Amino acid sequence: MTIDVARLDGVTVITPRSERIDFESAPELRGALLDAIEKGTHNLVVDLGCVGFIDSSGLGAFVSAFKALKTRNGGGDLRLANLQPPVVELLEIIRLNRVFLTYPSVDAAADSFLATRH
Amino acid sequence: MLDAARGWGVAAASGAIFEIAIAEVLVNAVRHGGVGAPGAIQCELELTDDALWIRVFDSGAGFDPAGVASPAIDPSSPERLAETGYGLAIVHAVFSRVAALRRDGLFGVELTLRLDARPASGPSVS
Repeated sequence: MTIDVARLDGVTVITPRSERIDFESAPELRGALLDAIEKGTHNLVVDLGCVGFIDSSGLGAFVSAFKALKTRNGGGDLRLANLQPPVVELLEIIRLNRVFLTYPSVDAAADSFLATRH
Repeated sequence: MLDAARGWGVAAASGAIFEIAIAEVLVNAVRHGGVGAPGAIQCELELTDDALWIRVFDSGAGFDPAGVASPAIDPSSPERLAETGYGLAIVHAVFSRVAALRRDGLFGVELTLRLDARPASGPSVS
């Protein structure tokens, strides 16, 4: 799976270029997220515009990164952008929508950090 | 399995969440039972007047899905958030009933999807 990593005004944007994040591809995504955190990122946005399918492995990758951000580097957050309806539904039924803030675009997610910039 | 469910006109079975739930069950079967053994994983679908039944058997040690708690979600305690265990939570959210089975020496799980509509009965598929 190709994963793009970009810096946007103090925010790291991770973009998985795959329609599916599952048990095969989730470890790679987890690695990219944790690598960004290891490099000192506080503000992470995951652009899910390409992703229509996420399984429990993918959710676990997000949770791993969220926990790492909260416990290292003096805090931070992982926010999700460009979610397709199935992903929204998945987060809702597992109630992880209580954990991850979601935004309709990468710009909106990046801007959301401005008020709480670390 | 998905094609069969959709072919029977089970509207609820065409949703992406249904596909994720089925994938979770199958991946669990591959991970925990019968990897590499021919016929070690067996799947059945049955459509009745009011429900879709899915049974997945493997040669692993089996488990009781009713005895596995869903991960607690408390954003105020991130250090306590589970990084695993969401698969069974997805399965429980999609299916009306999730039960353990044992047949012919294989352990399995039976998933029941109650149907709002009452489509014509279809055949069983193994």
